[in-house]
Amino acid sequence: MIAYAGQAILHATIAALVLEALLRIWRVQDPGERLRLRWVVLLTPLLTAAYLVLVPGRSTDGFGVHWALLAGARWNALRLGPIGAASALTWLLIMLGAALYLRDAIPFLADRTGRQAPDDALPDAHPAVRRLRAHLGPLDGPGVARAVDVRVLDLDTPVLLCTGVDRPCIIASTAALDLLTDPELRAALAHEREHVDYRDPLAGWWLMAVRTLQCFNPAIQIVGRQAVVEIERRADLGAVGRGFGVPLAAAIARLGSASDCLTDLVDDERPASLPGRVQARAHRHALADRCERLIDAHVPARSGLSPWHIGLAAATVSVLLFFVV
Amino acid sequence: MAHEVRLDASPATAGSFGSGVGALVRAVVVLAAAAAILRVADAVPGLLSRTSRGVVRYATVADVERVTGRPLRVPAYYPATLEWPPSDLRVYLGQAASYWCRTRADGVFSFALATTPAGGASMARAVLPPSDVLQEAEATVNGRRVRVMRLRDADGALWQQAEWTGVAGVTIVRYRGTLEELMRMVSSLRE
Repeated sequence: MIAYAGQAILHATIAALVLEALLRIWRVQDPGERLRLRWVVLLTPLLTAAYLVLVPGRSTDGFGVHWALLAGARWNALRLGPIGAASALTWLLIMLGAALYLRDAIPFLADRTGRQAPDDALPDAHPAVRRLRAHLGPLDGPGVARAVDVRVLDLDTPVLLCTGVDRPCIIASTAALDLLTDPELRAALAHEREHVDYRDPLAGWWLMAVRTLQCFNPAIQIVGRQAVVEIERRADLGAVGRGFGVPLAAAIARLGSASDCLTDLVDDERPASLPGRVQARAHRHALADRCERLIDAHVPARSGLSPWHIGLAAATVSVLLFFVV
Repeated sequence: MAHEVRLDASPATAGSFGSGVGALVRAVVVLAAAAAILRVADAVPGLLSRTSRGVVRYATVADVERVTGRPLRVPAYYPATLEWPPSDLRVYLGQAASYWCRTRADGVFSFALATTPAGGASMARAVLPPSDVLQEAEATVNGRRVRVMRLRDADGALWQQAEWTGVAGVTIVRYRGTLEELMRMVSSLRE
């Protein structure tokens, strides 16, 4: 079991590095396209596990010696006391993977289970709901796929997020509406509207499902977070494409500085411990970078990533990992 | 509210990949580079532990016997100048096994015994130190045909070696001492 876990971690790490190289060498900058390639990494260890069944000869010592490019168990030739280096590293990485998984899964599940469309939403005639609908309406262009359901809650905590796997819905609180100016609200809604159009709440659940299946794998947990960043960036660029770059940056900065804010516009900040403080500093830098990019209003061109390219990337990784045991 | 949005100029259809062939060539370059890096990563533990591919070192004689499924053979005549237990125990692909012993006085490796399954003479090279054959002859010891060799190891030291094939497989005894003592050890080994 530990050997399988070690191989899965090794496969995910190699797949992540190879895909990162492909992203750069193919100059893929569009977050939607980058997200599709990240999915190749996320699914790779699950698919290469099939090698164990389909090609049993690959698990033999002879394959490891004569055919493998890298046999991870060879690192057990180096001993760290009573345990081989590969086994020791595998245990360490499993613990790291579990920590990274729990760090994201606990808030995700707590957040999502509390995100049912509330029954105590303000009525449609309420001025706050009318204001929200007034700003959301112009975002529905002629090509709009679906009407967006909205709920406004009478809360002191700023809330602005998109939820709902089946029927995506935008939830806002009166505190968030009070906090944001009209242009900022319109920009924030444009961002949330992108999440609705791409059905990102569903993608979030899929991502968490894949991360849960590989909760021991730190490479998967890191790539999973990268995928979330790509999802947010795609929504940002959608808003930028509508000309909302500057007000969205202002909205993010404003919501980011509000305490107890609940929004997918801004990632959580957890400054409780020393690692938390380091994380909080990194978080502030990331927020500043994101706002700068929004103000810069640069929308990268799509690279024309086709299923053929996805298949090519998957084939490249699969061929390589066949020879990694 | 009016804010200029900068869109990259490259057309969405042609994209940054160029042609499909261009994307394929780049993917192959990445694949080749990754394969080369993996090969280097695979070689590192062997270089650090001075073992060749497929060789695993074990701590005890019992470990080796468990992995290979056969007892390690020890000559009934074993010079008192050699240490016991062995300082190094190696197994290649779970089949060929060897143990290496040092001289008590100076701690230098002076004795190695390797056994392989039937027909596995080539496997012994992985579990024995590399050496050059200087001289080779045939001899008969206790009714078995033995190839006797004089070898020089990588440090320039001279070794005597006896190799024969029995019913159970190949046995190689290598000794850094006199030929007479080697032959005494060989004749004291049971099949």
